[in-house]
Amino acid sequence: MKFAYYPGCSPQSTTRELDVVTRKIAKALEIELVNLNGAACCGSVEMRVNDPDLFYAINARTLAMAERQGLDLLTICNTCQLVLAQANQSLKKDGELLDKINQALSEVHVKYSGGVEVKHLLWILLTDVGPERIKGNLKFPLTGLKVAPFYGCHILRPKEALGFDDPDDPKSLEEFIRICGGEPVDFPGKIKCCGFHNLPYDPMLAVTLTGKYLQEASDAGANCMVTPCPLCFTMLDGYQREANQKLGSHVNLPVFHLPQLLGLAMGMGKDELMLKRNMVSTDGILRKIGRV
Amino acid sequence: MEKVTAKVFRYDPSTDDTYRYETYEVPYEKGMRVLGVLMYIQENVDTSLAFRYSCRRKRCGSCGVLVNGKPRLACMEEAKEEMVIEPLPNLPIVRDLVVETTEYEERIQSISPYLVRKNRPEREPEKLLPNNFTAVRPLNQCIECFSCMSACPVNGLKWEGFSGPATLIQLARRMLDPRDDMDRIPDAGQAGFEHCVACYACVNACPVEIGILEGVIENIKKKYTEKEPSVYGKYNKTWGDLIVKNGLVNPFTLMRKVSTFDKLLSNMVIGIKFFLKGKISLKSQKIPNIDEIRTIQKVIGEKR
Repeated sequence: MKFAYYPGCSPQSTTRELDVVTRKIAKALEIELVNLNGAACCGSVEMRVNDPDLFYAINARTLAMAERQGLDLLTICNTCQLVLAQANQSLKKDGELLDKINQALSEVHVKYSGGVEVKHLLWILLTDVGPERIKGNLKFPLTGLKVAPFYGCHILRPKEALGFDDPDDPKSLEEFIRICGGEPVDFPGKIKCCGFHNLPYDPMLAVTLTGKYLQEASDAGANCMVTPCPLCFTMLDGYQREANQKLGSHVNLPVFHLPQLLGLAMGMGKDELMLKRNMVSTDGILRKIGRV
Repeated sequence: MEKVTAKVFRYDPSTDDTYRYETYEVPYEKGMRVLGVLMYIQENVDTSLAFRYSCRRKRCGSCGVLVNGKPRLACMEEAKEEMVIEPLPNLPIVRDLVVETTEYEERIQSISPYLVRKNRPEREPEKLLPNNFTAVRPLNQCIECFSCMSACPVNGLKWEGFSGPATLIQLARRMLDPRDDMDRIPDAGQAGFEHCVACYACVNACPVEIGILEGVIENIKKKYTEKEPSVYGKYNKTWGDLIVKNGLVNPFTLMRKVSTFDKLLSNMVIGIKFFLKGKISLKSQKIPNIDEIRTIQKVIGEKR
């Protein structure tokens, strides 16, 4: 099993642990990740506002890199997943747009023909790898651990561009938690927005949204939370203290990246999973599952 | 499915101290909608149940309710075996499922939601080309059911200065109409478009499938930032500039360039914590073949 690997910006800086641990679990599950040397930022949901042509061109260039390898693209960030999937969908549907973008790309000897699919790691784990193969690699299933799934927006909505889960009633993250041996905890905010994209210019809004959903998860009895998105992770883990301060709450909820939780169940240790980089201590969880 | 079990929100502010839920069993008929369930209850079980409806065919927007926690039009939503039916949230309740929408209507009125033409067209009758209305046409489909307002997490917080997606749809309808010659920029600023968190909850909730994010909010953002300096505009521009400069966006550099001095100061504590955890890199990474990005940008710029 082989994919072109697109970590995106956050896992190459703020959430470097996500990139490192993704590579480790991929190796253990025999998923070969091929680096796309020189792939650029997807432009997030912002670049297309100012410069839609450059937005399409940069993403077509990344897709063409994967196409040249004959591989589908594996993402580990919700926003990268959505943005690349949307760009890919538009380029495949609109021949005129594809021609225009390919004309610009021809200056750097790149051409995209529309032969790539963009898939999030969560989806690949559940479908391409499959539950049985994952379970076969678990050494310490997370029995008794109550895990709140936080999907984030851009892995669910809009359905037309993503389509893996029902955006109103998703199941994939709960299924993933169960495969790891944990118990998913339901709470209304699991499909809501952490506010990350407004953080640089509207931080109080972002922190308020984050705090609301952390509180809901905590009230629902979760021991910890897992998210498939490094941007949500940055809010939920990195800004948890600020959210508590803003809302006057006292939530203390360790947050895991998707592959960190899986790695834990696969028997990887604290250092291997780079858990020291998480802002909210995960030591209590390690003790709870008898891993200290 | 032989029957539908509907747990319905009941509350009459004139007589009840608090709300309650009542459960009704309704015989299922093939193709039954939520509105059919409510009408059955009203006609056969409890005539006092209050709900709004009119056209029964997705045109009037008056039958919006929450079905199992999701904003839906009662006339279109298929009845499920078990349902919780509640009024749209964040609005005063008139009775049962009927909400007072005046607040939303006033927000829409505040942005002059009609065509304003100060100058007569050059020639009459005026030539109206379909291509000039491509962006506006989908927005004309809005039925003001306020499903988007119910789904929007920022509207749910009653965030000060944010007028919500339904207001922004009406604003974009006018901003994008080539006949409209009112300066809509001040209204766009007042409507608080920059508080949108780009979560697509409104898009997901819209029963007439308006692309509210790309078709409405991103168009307002574009028009506004072309005319007015704003923090959002600076953020947006910096994002693009960093991609062309480095190929990747270093979150620290982005924050440093966008934040005002007082914002940077208030972020000092968290900044230090992030730094100590190794989450902040002071030096921006650059992709090895950054010249390719710059060449692409140059070519696109020239063609434009």
